[in-house]
Amino acid sequence: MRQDWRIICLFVGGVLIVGAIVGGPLLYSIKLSFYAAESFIAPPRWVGLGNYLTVLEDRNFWDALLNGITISISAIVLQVTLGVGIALVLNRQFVGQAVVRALSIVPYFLPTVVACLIAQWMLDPNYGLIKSILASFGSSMFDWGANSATAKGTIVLVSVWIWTPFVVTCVLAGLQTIPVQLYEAARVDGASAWKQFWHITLPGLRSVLIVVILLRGIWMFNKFDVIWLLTKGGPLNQTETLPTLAYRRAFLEFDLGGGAAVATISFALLATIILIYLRFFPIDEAKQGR
Amino acid sequence: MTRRNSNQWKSKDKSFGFSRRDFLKTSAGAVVGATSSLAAPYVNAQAGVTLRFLNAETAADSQAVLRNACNAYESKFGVKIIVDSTPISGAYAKTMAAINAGNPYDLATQGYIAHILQYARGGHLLPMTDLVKQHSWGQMGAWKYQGENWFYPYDYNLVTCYYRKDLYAEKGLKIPNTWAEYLDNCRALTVSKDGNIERGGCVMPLASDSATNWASFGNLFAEAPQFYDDKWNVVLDAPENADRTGRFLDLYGELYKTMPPGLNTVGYAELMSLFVTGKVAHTLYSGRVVEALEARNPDLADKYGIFAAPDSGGKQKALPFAFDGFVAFKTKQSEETLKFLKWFIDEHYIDWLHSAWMNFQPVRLDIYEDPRWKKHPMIQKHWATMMQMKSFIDPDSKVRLSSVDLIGPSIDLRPCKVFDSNVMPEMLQNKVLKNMSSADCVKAAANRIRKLG
Repeated sequence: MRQDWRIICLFVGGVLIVGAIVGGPLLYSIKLSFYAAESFIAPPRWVGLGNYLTVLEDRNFWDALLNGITISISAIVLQVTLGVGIALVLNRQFVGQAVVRALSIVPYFLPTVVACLIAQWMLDPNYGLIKSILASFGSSMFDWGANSATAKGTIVLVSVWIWTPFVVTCVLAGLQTIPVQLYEAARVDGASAWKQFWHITLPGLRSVLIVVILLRGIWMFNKFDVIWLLTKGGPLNQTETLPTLAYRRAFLEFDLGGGAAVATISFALLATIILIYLRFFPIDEAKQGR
Repeated sequence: MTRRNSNQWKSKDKSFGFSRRDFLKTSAGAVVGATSSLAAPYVNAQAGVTLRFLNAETAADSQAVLRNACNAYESKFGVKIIVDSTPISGAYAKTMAAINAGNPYDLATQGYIAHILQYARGGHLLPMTDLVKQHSWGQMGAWKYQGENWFYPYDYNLVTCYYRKDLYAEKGLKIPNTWAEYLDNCRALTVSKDGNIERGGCVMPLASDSATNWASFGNLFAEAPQFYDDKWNVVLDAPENADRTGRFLDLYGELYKTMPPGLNTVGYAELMSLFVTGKVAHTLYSGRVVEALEARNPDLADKYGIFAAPDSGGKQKALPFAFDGFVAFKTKQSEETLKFLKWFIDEHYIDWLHSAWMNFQPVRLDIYEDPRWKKHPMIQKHWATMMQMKSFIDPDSKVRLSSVDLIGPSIDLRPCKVFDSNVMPEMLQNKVLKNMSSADCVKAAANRIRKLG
């Protein structure tokens, strides 16, 4: 078989570029995790697995891992549930459907920093909109940042607000691919709305949902911006996750090696989880099964 | 398979129309082009020197002063200065990246001692000892590391306690000299309605961030516990120090009850805005509060006063602080950098200080006598406050200046780690959010500091 050099060149070029911008920093980070260094300009000192041992013995690491899992799972469950629900509504014909569909994606367009500032302003215990609303009902405002559950809950809610439109868009696209005839046949057979959803819609969305959950899982587990902007990992590290811990160690505690070790462990964990997930929910089979 | 004959490269029997001669011509052209473009900066460098200035003072007035000064310098000496303004939170990463890329900035404003120490230790800074020793400085202003001055400070960022004179008069209160008096004043000025604090007695931030590290520990510094001994052993939990720190935590626990909600999200902006909008009777901040009052609530600008944080027994006062200043990096243009900095200090330093007239509290003592600086109308209006601020930094002042990043026996990176690891804010959080005993909070903080090394 003859090969097209243009395709080979494009492929090799792509691999080299991806390798340089993804593989390079990754390898550098892994290398850094075996050294002790206080900054990028200080001479590094080889410590072998020392950073990993220190990190794994640190309670903060395990707390951060647990926090990350809790926040990720809560956010994904809410995003997917709400996303599917909203997409089902938007999939129906109604007056102004196009406008509502366009509006539903607006939060996704907001820069994260803007969304977080809006959330902070709304939730401000002294000046916030929520405080004013609660006050008009004679209720007092809760101090969301002072309590572990409310701080985590706020992060989850803001994440749901920003990224549910992504799920809506993907699911809406998936819904368009389910043949209408299947629903017509089900109605003729007397299937209820719930049965139609369970036996037609959900299997039809399987491949979309597998990808959406996978992507949202990766993004939520690596989420840094929302947490840092809202709580900076506080109160008392109750919303610290592995990305914020890695940042804190590397750039605030002047322990680049420790930060790199946290980042490397986080990467390995995530890669393992993805492999297990894809083993249970293979995307190709989902496509064929549909 | 792709075949190649002597003259043409082909794919799937289709010629690219690209002969070996074409290839050689193109390659030669590319080499010449690349060489020319690589040589361009060298040619440009011969034409005139360009300095790069990383500025972390992003207020419009401060940027305007820098811009004017740089334009004036270019007109006079033909040296172009590119000012790269970035919020202070991003300055460290930019500086590191520039150094690592082999193209450090020539000059920068810096506000954090840990970063200056890192640059100095790495051999990236120019000593400024000759420049610094030309002037007399306020307390700690001419600090040295490894025998040299690496930093030309321009402001103190003293965290004074701001209070409402009108409210004090209304309630017949006096400026507090002890913790008990301060607590009484805060309680007296707290206004609650339906279980909500409508006006807080005071605000002392609690979040794990630099605002808390900077602002919340004046009363602790006045009480003067030792964190490290002379050999850098952690002694915070030794009986006498644990006792002093524990007493401070007890005070904080009581003051917390007079503070408005949301302390865990109070940062620099809220410390100012809560006072400017009348939501608290006391706040902790630098002179920037006065600028904010004049800009947003001029009525209150005539009704504030300041005092230093007292200790428990009325014997000592203290103020947290954090210098801002200039550093110069070692580059091929070091001589030109120092020449510019000297010129800037001679010609535009006063304009620079005026750009944040109250916040840029001079560290150089001669400035307080300089008629050019004094003639600023706002400095004249708030002259009494400025003189009070000067009395805190005078070399013979009894007020102790300190900061979490300076709590050791000498200037070092170890206290900076305590600052950045938020050990101190977490000590407060343990007290008021977890209701831990003060003794346990101190023990936990001391252990954390030991772990940091």
